[in-house]
Amino acid sequence: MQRRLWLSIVAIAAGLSLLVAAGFAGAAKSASGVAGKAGKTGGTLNVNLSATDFDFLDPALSYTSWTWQFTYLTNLKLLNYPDKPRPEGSQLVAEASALPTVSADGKTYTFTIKPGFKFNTGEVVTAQSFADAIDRTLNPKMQSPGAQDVFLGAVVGYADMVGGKSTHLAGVTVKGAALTIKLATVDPAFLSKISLPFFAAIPKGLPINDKGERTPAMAGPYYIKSYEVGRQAVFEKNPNYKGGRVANLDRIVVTINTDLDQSFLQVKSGQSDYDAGGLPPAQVASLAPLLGKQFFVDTQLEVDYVALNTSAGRFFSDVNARKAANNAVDRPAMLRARGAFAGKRTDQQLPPGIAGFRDEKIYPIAGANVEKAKSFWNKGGKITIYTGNKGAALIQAQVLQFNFKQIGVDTDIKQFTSAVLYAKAGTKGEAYDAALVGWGSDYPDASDFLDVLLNGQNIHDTNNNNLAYFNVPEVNTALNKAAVLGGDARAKAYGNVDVMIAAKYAPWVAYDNRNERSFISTRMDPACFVFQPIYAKMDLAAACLK
Amino acid sequence: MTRYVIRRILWALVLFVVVTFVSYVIFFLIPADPVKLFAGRQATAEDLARAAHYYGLDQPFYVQYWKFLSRLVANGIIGKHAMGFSYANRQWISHVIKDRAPVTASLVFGGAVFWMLISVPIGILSALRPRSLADRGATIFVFIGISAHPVFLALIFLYIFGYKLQLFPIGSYADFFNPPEGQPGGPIQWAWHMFLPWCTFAILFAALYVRMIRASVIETMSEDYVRTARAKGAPEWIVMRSHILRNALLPIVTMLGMDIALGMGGAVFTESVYSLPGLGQAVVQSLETFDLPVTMGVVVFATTAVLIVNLIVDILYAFIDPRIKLA
Repeated sequence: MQRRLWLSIVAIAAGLSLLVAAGFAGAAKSASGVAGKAGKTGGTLNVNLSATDFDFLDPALSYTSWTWQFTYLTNLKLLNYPDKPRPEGSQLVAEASALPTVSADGKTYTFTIKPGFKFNTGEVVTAQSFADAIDRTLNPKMQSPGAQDVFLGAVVGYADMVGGKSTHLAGVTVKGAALTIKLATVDPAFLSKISLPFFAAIPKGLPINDKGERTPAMAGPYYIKSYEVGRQAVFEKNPNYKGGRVANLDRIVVTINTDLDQSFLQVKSGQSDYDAGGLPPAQVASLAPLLGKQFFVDTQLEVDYVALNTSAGRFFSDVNARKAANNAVDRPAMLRARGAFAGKRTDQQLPPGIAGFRDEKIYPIAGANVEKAKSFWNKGGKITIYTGNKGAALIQAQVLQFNFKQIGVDTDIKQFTSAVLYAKAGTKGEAYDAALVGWGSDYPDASDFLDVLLNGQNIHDTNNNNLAYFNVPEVNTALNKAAVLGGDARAKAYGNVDVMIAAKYAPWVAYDNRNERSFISTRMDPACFVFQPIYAKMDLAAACLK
Repeated sequence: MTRYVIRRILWALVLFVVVTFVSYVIFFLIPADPVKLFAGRQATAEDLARAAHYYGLDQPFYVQYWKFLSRLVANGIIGKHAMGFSYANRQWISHVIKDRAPVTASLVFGGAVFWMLISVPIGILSALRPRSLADRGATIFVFIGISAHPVFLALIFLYIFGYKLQLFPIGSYADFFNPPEGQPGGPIQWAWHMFLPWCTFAILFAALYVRMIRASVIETMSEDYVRTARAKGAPEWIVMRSHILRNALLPIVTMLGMDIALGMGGAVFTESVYSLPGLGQAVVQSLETFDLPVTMGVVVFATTAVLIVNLIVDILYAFIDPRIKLA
């Protein structure tokens, strides 16, 4: 009894001491609320990353858009996208290398590495730093998504490398400051691909480790000072960086896995400066008065669409049913479901900003045209719609349900988590008629939309991205022809295929190009806000405090 | 006693295998392919096959489950490689558990202290003065506590006490030991950051406990031995302490053990809203990204914790109440 009484007293004392401690702590200052040094340059930016973590900060492994916003700070690439808004920000410019010389047959690229670049450790960046990065990313022991055939599959020796028969990519050679890359087949999108974050410079001897290096030395304007998974990452200015990119802030502290709603309050109150994870959709409308001051809206290189399953025997195998759907869907209502400033309506596959896009009025984007839809389809029917289980997905599916009902088509909605939705819809033969999905490009080229999503020759048994199972020889041929073209001819060819697909075959109901909505604290100087169009996020290197 | 403990441990092992096996099977029934997380979203069939083979994901589920159990036994539950690594960020699961378990423990055990501090005095007072103003007030508290979802309460608390009054931080966590660079830490910051989560977490359980304690005390007060004690002239506080509370709080000890384990499930909501980097947050994210190893790691850890807590409670219960036989 004595012992239990004693334990009770200790427990109560512990509880009370915590209460007292908590009371005193109220007067103390949380480091997350301490203001950084003010000014155009210098200071600390406090960033939240809501509802997620970086996948990796190791350049060979990172493959998410939110991580690339931060590795854009740390990576030094052969060519890079400048810290500028559209259109300059979308154009590749020389970074560590001068613009490459290309052989007459278009298969050999020679990059000459400029002197003066160093990693944060002081190690000098050489042509070998890039050759090592390519080899490391393609090494099967890394299991990097950068080793996908679509990226460097055209380089000589690719198959041997990813097949484990070689530890060096045969097509890549280094001679002094020159890095030469030989392709087995012409790839006009090669420069976009070699400028992916996977192939940023790495220091000598960076371990081959499929778990990734947590804080590898980097040669960009910033380096990774520390990274505690699930908690916090700190980026600081690379003291050895002598390149031309801006780096206004001294330090960027990222708090990971915050909650979207509480993070919004933190930015509003100045406890944090920006949430790289986004904004609560319901709060966006309230930010309208702050547009251009604390709130910024920019279009992403992305398209949201309803993939209409064109497989034989399915409802949308009939092109008239697909054209009816394109006329029946109320695009403004679909967009409204995502909250204010969510995106720009569209009826085409390519987003504005991709070379070759030309805006054509093919289907009604100001609202549904039920009469016209009925002129294409008045036979009724029943379809199954697959959609996600988060955000606006269900509301949008209900909008579709209503729209299809207007033309006499009944619907059955099925919701899945994102991973399951894409896995199911990506399996050939899956019994669905329409899927609410979206796509953002890995690199800014029309082929990363049209070839990946609508070339029938890319349909497999599983893991399909062509979720409409659209396979029309005329389109495949046109896409294959466009893929080997370069420059303006390439852009024009893809632009034509884009319009042809939408107008003639309508395999999707494309309905919006999503906006990136950025909200910054009053500590930040809005004059420094730059939207990097390729990474589709605020450029943190250009950001500054007041 | 030894036989009882051995029997309980054997049952715990059976339960452990059943729980982990069912969790494993469920993941394999879900038609999502984790290989895409390794190979990339534009991976060809060859890319996918290579990645699947490299990580053994091309093997049947029972082979993968057997390997999982073998690793667990060979490395011990807390061994670095025991539970594999996350498909999403390839972190060792042992690190995920080691980093996050203290946060969940802070929430659950701190919350338990809170709910006991709230419920014991209110429950007793309510039982001593039935149908009084205090009792009716306690009933209202119980209704609110049971009805209000933790997410709702958390958002209200954050808005009022965090954003409007600025008495507490708006979410985030401060480590008791070794905080990340530049972040607040130490016992005071830890308690300050945890205060609102503790309140949120404790209210539901406090409400339930008020009802339990009230009912238990009222029932015990009408027992013969209490009447006898009073008839013998024992002072009221001794009657209360030695005869009523001692017996009335016995079932609460069992409940507390069970609810601390149960509370780990409830912690998911509180951790999510307050951005606490605990196990609940990890498991929610792992389910969204189809990250089986993280889910399994948390299931293994939680199952082990529940089994151990229950075992301890059962043994303690028998120790506290000699009337209970362990045969």
